[in-house]
Amino acid sequence: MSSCLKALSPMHAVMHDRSDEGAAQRNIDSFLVDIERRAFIMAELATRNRDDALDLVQDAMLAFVRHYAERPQTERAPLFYRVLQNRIRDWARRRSVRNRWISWLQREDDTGPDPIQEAADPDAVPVEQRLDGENATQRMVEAVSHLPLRQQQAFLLRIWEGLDVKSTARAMGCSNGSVKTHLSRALGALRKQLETFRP
Amino acid sequence: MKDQPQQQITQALDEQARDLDGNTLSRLHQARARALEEHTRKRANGFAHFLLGAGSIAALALVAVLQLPPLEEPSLPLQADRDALEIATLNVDLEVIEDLDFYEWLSLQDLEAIPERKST
Repeated sequence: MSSCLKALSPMHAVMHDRSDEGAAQRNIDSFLVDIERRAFIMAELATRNRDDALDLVQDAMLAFVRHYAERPQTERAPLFYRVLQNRIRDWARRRSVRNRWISWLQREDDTGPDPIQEAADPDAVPVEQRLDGENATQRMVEAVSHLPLRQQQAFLLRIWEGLDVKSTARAMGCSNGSVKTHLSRALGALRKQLETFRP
Repeated sequence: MKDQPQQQITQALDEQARDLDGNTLSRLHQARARALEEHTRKRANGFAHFLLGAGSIAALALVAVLQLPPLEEPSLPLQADRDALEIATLNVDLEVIEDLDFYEWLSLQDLEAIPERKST
């Protein structure tokens, strides 16, 4: 009798799992709701392009549910950010290769500077004005977006997302020491930039 | 503990995340819906794989049972069974049969006594 029950237990487990499917679905949904806005901001800061950022977040969500959806709640955020950061790094690599080709092709056709490109933008807001009052939020976000990618990742994951050093290292795919180095450089650069922003 | 610039920046980032425009939020919602579809599909595939595995095992077990050699022919009755059959068919009084052991012992005694008699 007990052997029969044992033989049936995987079946029972699967039926039980199916009955919990709704709960699992809600669990994943609530995790993705919690994380999607921050994930998008991180991707947008890295790419400076809304569509690319949305594509990266969608790819990261799909890869996450394929590979890590069953992981415990505590492991999910570092794993999700690891997937997202890998995609951002791949995007940056592709972009850099593409830019190299474009600059090489442009050099071939180089006939001197384009006067239209060189002309000052009449609608551009002067720097001093841009740095005043209500644009403060935008200025700070821009300061983060101008950081090199690894420093930006370290800052966002460690300071904004609040991951510990170990989880940040896991998400970035590097050592704890590298996280500390990137973060220290990021903070130095941000302080310098914020100093120059002050009127 | 965050210092002032860090706090300002994180606040700015929080504001940015909070004030996303409707179009971006809608696309994020779509991305999430696709991810959840994928999750459902993955779980359904897991169940289908389980059923496939269980079905394969059941089919293999059935084939193995069908391939087993037929049961052996019933063996010849043992000597003891044959004796019991013989006794049952004999037209002898039941008391004699019950005392068969005694008669057997008696005949053995007689056989042992014969050489002694010859020697005397």
